[in-house]
Amino acid sequence: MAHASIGEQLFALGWRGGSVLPPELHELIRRHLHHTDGKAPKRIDPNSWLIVVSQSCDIVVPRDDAEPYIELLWAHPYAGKPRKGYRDLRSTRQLDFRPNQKTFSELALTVHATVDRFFVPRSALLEGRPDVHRTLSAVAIKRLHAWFALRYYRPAWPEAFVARIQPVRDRLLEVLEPLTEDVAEVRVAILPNDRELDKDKYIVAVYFVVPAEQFQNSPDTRRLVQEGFNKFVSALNDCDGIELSTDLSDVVSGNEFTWEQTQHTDLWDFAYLSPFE
Amino acid sequence: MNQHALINNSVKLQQQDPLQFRPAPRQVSTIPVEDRGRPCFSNLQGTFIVHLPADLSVEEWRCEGDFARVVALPISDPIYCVIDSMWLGATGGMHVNVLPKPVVHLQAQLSAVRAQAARRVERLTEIKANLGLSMQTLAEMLHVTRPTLYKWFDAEKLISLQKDSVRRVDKIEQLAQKWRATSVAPLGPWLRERIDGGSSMLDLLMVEPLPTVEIERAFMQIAARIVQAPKSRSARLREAGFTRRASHRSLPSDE
Repeated sequence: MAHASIGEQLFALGWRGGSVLPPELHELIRRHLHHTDGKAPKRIDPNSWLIVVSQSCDIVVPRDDAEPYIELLWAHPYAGKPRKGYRDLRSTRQLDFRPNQKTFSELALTVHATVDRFFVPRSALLEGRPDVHRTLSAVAIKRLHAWFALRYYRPAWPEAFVARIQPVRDRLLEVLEPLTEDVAEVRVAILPNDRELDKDKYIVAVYFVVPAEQFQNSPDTRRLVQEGFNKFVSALNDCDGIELSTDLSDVVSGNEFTWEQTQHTDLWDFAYLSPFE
Repeated sequence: MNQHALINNSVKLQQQDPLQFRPAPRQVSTIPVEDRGRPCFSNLQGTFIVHLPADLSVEEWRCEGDFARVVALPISDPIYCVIDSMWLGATGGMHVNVLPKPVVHLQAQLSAVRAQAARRVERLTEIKANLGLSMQTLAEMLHVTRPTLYKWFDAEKLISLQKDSVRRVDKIEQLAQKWRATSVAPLGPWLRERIDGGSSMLDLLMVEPLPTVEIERAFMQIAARIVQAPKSRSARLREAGFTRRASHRSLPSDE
């Protein structure tokens, strides 16, 4: 039988995207975790989770030179619930999440998008098997991958605009809490959307788009969304340097919000309000 | 429960005194309000001001001993009296009987105004939701500009509506409730439909005073048309079972 490739060996050991390193491997892996100062951490808290976030196909690819490294995320236990501003992909910089609601229902982890990401040689994983007790749920794995992706495809809203929104960020979060994706989609048009303004105001048009069926058949939904809209624009009005376009903003039915209008607007996402690094 | 309070005049006489009053010998202090209130002397000639805690009101007040002659009674909070004369070596003090009072604190007043603003926004929201109107149309119906309507919709804006506006909001609110009882559909898309070949719904809703009987009849006609209206493309897509792919926003929340 031919010698098994590194990919085959890793597959046989059970390594996949989302696998967690057992504490026994921490010491071995520690020297590969270089911070920006080039130094490895002195120790790894055994309660922290070192998560393989590379895609499964990259982990098991046969040739070592095709994928010499795998990516690790060093997640730290966070005492308390996932924080409102950092959970559910609301920040591209920091993520608080629950790794597995079934097996670790009380545990919350936190990761920083740059500080806690490391590349280590793929061969290092040959030294052991994934942790059998600490496993990520499918939702947690999806969330981590979506978080990484979000960081790269977020629209580049001007930093000055993002800074001006910060004082009301928590108010806006609260307002949008009950408005899930199937109740309303919040879209905004920002003018100018590509320039850092010093003194001038950004003009913002806000749309709360309600799925047509609900808009057509549910006055209660229309009221719920309108309440959210009222509070949202009230908070925006309290931001220095931001002016709401009262001519354009409104709650609208998905039937009326055209494809053209989607081209002039961005989806509102709290992750887009993470300051740039 | 009545509370007796003696406001000692030694405090006031430490202030600069246009009448050149001197401190009177301090009386035995049994001044429960003094700890909570602050007696002081005003530079207004002959006017003595007693600042009382906001939760107390004056039941009675008098001068006692060789102190001063008061020619006017306290009027309001802070209470004051006009002192006619006061002499050197005066003794005695002022007695103030106070009563706890149901005070409308500034904070309470502010809360009432905020509650009023919240109620205004709630009613407007209900109207807009029941009728399914755009801001533009609702502004036209209420005979205000769109920016003004935005202010009305902002609970942070502690404003009062003009009488005419209040009346119109009341009427339109009633109509909105009637429309809600007639149909759950938004009226907005049907506003320009002609009723019996004559005026449109929007025309009727712009009139002052509102022709309510005519409008209610028009509601019935439009509700019947809505039921017979052809289905939209999105409704047909939905009914055929087409759905969009779940995005990361569809992931269940971590809380």
